[in-house]
Amino acid sequence: MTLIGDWQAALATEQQAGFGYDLLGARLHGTPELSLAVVCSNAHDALIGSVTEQLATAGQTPHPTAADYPSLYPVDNASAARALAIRLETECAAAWRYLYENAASTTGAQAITLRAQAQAALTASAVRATRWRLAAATKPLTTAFPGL
Amino acid sequence: MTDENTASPQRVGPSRRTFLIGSGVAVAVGAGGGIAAGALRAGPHRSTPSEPPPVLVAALASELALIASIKASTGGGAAVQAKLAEVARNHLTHATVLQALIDDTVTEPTPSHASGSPSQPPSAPPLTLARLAAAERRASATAARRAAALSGRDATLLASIAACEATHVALLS
Repeated sequence: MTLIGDWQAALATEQQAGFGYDLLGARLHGTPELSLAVVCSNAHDALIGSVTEQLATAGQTPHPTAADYPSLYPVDNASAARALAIRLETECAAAWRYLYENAASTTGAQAITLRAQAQAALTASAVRATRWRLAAATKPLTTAFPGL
Repeated sequence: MTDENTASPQRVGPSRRTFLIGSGVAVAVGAGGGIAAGALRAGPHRSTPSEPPPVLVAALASELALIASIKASTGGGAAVQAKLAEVARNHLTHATVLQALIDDTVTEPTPSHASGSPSQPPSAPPLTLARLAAAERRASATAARRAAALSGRDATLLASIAACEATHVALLS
């Protein structure tokens, strides 16, 4: 896959996360984690917006958001919502790590720019995943190699 | 696409990295290290320069220094100690994988390299939780900069280490 293809794949994973947070947020009303979900959702929405704009500027058609993401269901309760949040962040971290690796094996200005974006997004998702593991009291709370 | 490794002639026989992985290092460092080592094993053989890459050596030294700081910081309750133990385990996993990468680049391992295990951590003064978190924050930023100076899988490994150390900040703050 090309760097653009990897970038589009990362966007698609972010779009899934954006959808997923809407889904899981509904199960967190009345819990302390609702504010965390809002913060995470806002972060993904902001990244989706910036990547979409950057892809368009690069002359690409950004990956469209799907109407639904059946693989994210069911989310029946707060516990399932926390587990889904961890999954969403883990998958985002993996997508950005993949883009990072391919950009790090490529020369050129675009590769350098994408590496920086991928590093920031990988780190942000890894941190959010840890915050959700803390909320869910899941052990271990961290992973030695996020995204791998 | 560029890959500094592809221009070099392949070794005859298994690389040291393959040997290390085959001898159980991946198992010893845990699941995360096993995954990382597995990714490394899939890569091409390296050339065999006599000196290890300075960036990787510096990254290994950083990991050992962080382990030393955590080991010296013995206060706090059981919950804090459990977090510190997890953070230390991650650093040990990083150090072990970095040591394997370094060993794979040298023609003859030095005695400290021969076992495939990282060198002993240096001694360090105890730090408060806030100072440990600050050290992890600095380490994350440094690892990201070091990653940007590398290419391919080595770069990706350090990028992932940078992300991990940012999670330590979240854990300790």
